[in-house]
Amino acid sequence: MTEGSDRPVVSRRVALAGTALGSLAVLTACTDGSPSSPTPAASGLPGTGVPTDDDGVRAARVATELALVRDYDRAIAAQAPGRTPSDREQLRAFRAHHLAHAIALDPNVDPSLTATAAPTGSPAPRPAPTRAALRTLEAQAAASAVDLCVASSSPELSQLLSQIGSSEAAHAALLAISATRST
Amino acid sequence: MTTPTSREDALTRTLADEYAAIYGYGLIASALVGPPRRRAQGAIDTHRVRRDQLRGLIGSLGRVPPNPAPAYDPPYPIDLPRRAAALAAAIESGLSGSYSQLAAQSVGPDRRAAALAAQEAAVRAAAWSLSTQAFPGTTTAIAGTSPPAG
Repeated sequence: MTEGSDRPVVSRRVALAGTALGSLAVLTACTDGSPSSPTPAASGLPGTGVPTDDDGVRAARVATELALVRDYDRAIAAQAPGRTPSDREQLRAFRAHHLAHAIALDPNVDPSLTATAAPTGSPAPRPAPTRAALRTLEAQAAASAVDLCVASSSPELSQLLSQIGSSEAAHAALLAISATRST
Repeated sequence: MTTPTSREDALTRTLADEYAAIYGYGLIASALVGPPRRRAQGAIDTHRVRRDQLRGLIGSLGRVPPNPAPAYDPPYPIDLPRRAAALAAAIESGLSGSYSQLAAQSVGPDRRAAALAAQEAAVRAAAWSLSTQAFPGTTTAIAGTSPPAG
């Protein structure tokens, strides 16, 4: 109703509207050019050591994100029939977020994930994680994203890792909410 | 909107978002009752602490921190609880993105603090909207929001 008023506050209205940062555009294709084989750094477990170069940071994080995608795959497949559709949609949305994280870090990641079978010599498939287990994994991922963010040299990579960690912290919080509601 | 290219620039933008958040949560709280209202009121305190931290950081750079605008217009009337929650989620999501940009313009412990602040804002956004994004702060959570008019 007051739009178009000449009050000076009108020019500030955008400040309450949220900002579209468009930071995806900062992503660059600075991968090692080997799309089908994870780098050695990628085999490290998250949190067991922070890589010191940006390529290592990216590779380590891609491995973490793809492991989370597989965790969600198992959780979705094993979901009890009694779960509500919204629970299933939530898990699918979070899986999609982790795949988007991996692709943002490495454009060579296969969006269909068919080329990312577990590497040879990996342990036998783990059982499907519960929602509580997923919450723990998300919280760990959020924490390690901060470590990697701090270790990054490039501002673009540190910003991306901060956003990824923020997404995962929110996942953990939402899984806690849904766990409270449905169990 | 462009990406900040200096720590001072990122601090200033994040401070502007915190000012808007404090004002916005006043509108939000007034549209809510019960526990959600108390949550909004608690968020005002949280954002005041952040505001003071950011003002101090800008001051430590030898700069005078800018003051808030006298008032901020919400993008739509905050007359229903649903709209209040949507605005709260959008404010927090935008703040999360601003703190991630601040992380990119910071190093060491300052970067860690900014990244953790980004996570806290994303968690608050999720609590209001019961959803989140792959890259919080990348896109606004509100449809129909106008870009800056200039």
